[in-house]
Amino acid sequence: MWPGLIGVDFFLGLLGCLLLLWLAKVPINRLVERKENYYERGGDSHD
Amino acid sequence: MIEFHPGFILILGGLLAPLVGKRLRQMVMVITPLLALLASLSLSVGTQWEYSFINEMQLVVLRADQLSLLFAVVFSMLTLLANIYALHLDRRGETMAAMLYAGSSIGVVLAGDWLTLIVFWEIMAIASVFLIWNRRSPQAISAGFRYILVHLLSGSLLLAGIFLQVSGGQLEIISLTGSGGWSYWLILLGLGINSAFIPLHAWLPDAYPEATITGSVFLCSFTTKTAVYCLIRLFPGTELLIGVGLLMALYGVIYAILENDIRRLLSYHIIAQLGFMVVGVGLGSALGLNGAAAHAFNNILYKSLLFMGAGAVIYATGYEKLTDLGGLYRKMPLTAVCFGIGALAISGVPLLNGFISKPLLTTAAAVQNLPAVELLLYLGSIGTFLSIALKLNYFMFFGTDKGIKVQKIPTNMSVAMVGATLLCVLYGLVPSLLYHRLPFVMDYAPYTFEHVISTLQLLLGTFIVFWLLRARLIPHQAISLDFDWFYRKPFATFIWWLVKMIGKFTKGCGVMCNAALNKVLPFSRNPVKWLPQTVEGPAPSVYNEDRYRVSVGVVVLMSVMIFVVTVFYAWL
Repeated sequence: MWPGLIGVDFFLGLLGCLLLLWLAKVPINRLVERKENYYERGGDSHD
Repeated sequence: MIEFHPGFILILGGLLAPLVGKRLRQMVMVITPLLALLASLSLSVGTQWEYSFINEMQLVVLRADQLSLLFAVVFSMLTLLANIYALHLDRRGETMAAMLYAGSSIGVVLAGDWLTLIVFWEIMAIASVFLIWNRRSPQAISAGFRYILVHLLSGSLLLAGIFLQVSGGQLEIISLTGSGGWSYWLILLGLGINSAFIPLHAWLPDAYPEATITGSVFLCSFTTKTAVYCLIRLFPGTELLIGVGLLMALYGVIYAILENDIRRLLSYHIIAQLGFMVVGVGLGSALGLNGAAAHAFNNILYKSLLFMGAGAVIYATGYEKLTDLGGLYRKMPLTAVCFGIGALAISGVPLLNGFISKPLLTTAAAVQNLPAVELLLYLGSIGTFLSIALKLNYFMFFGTDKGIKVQKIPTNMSVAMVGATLLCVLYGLVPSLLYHRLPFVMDYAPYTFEHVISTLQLLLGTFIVFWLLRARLIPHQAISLDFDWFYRKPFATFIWWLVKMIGKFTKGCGVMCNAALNKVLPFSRNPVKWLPQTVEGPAPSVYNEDRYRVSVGVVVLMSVMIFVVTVFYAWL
C-alpha cells in the first residue's frame, strides 16, 4: 500500500523519525530518566 | 546415512571442553559446531527419533521439519562464529556453559514432545546464567540472580502448562492456537517471558549488558529465538500477538534512542526486532510465519555481529558507554566496517539480509489489509535505522574523537566478525538461500524497483532528520527506568520488610516459647508437684530427682524389651 506512492516513504521517514524522537526525548525521557547510580543508592542493597 | 542430533554434539563438546587443555579445547570449540552444522544440514525433513518412556509414552527427541531445521542450522552457524570469537579466552567454565546453552537451544527446536522440550528449556536457562555470572562483577552477579529467577519462573509456567497438556494425554507438541484454557495461557505466558513481551521483558536489557563480552554474543541469539520458534509452532495466527509485537517494536526503539550503554541499547533492539517476529506469528499467514522465521534467522546473524562489534569496542577501549566513546573508526577500521554493515543489515538496507526478511512481514500485513500494522512496522524500521545505524554508529565510531587509547583485538575476534558480515551480505545478495529453507512455499521477490526505492526513501527521510537534530541525540550519563524498577525497588523493599517482620516474629515467638518453657520445665522435672497431696503434712521443700530414677528406668527397660520381643515374634 505505502510503497505504491512515490515520495510517501520519504515523508514517512521524516515524520516517523520526528515522532519517535519527540516521544523518546520529551514525555518518556521525563518519566524514566534517572541518575546512573540510581540503583546503587540503596536500591540494589536489597538485591 | 547415519544421522546425528546436532544439539547432542554440542552438549558433548561442552562436557568435553573443560576436561582438556587450551589447545585441545580450541579444537573442540571449532570442530563440534562444525559437526553440529553438518548434522543439521544432513538431517532430512521428516526424520523422527522416538523412544518409549513411562506408560508406553513416546518421547520424540528429534523431529525434523523445515522450521526446526532452519533454526538448528542458524544456531549451529552462530555457535561456530561465537566460539571463534571466544577462542582467545582460557575460560573452561564459560566454554562449557556456552556450548551446553547452544546445544540445549537446538534440543528445544528439534524436540517433538513436551517433556523433551521442557528438559532442554531448563538446561538452556541454567547454562545461560553462567555467561552472566562469569563476568564476576557485583552488577553481573546481581543481574544474573534476577535473570535466573525470571527464567525459573518462565520455566515453571511452561512446566505447569505442559503438565496440563501431558495429563490430558497430549505428549506430542501441536499448535495450541484457539485451544484456550489454563494450559494455553500458562504456556503463552512462559514463552512471553522468554520472548520479552512488554512488560515481561525487563530481564533482557538488565542482564545482557552485564554478561561477558563473548557471553553476550551467545545470549543475544538463543533464548529469545527459541521462544520465537515455539511461538511460531504453538501460537500461529493468535491475533493478540499482533498488538503485543507492535508494542515491543516501538517500545524497544524508543528506549534504544534514550540509551547510553552500547550493549543495553542493542538489547532494547532485540526486543524491537522480536516485536517484528511476534507480529508475524500473530498475522498467522504463510507469508507472516515465513517472515517471522526468516527475520529470526537473519536477526541471529546481524545481532550477533553487532554484539561482536560492541564487544570488540569494549575489549579495545575498556568503555561501554557512548558518552566515553567517539571517533573510533580510524583506530578500529575493520570493526567499524563490520559493525556498520550489521547496523545497515538490521535497518533493512538493500543488498543485506535484513532487506529480504523485514518486507515479508510488512507485505503480510498489507496482504491481510492491516494498514495500521504495516505503518507501525515501518515506524519500527525507522526507529531501528535511527538508533543503531545512525545514533550508535555515529557516536561510537564517528562524532567527537575522545582520544581513547585502543588495544589491538585478537585476530579470532576479527575473523568471527568478518564471517558474520559475509553471511549478512551473502543472504542479502542471494535471498533464495534462505527462502527455500522457510517452512512454507512462497513466491516473493524482494528486489523489485518499487521496494528498493521505497526503502531508500524511508531511510533517506530518517537520515535527514537525524543529521539536522543530531545535537539533540548526544548521549548523556543517565539510565532509563524500566519495568525491572518494580522488582528492584518496591518489591525488593517489600521483601526486605517482609524478611525483617518474619525475623521479628520468629524472635518474638522464641522469647515467648522460652518463657513458657521456663515455667513448665520445673514441673516436668517434678511431676509429683502436680499430684494431689495424699499424705498429710507439708510437701518436701526440696525434691530429690534420684528418688524415682531406678524405678522409672526399670519400667522403661521392661517396656522396650516387651516391644522388641513382640516385634521379633511378629516378624518370625
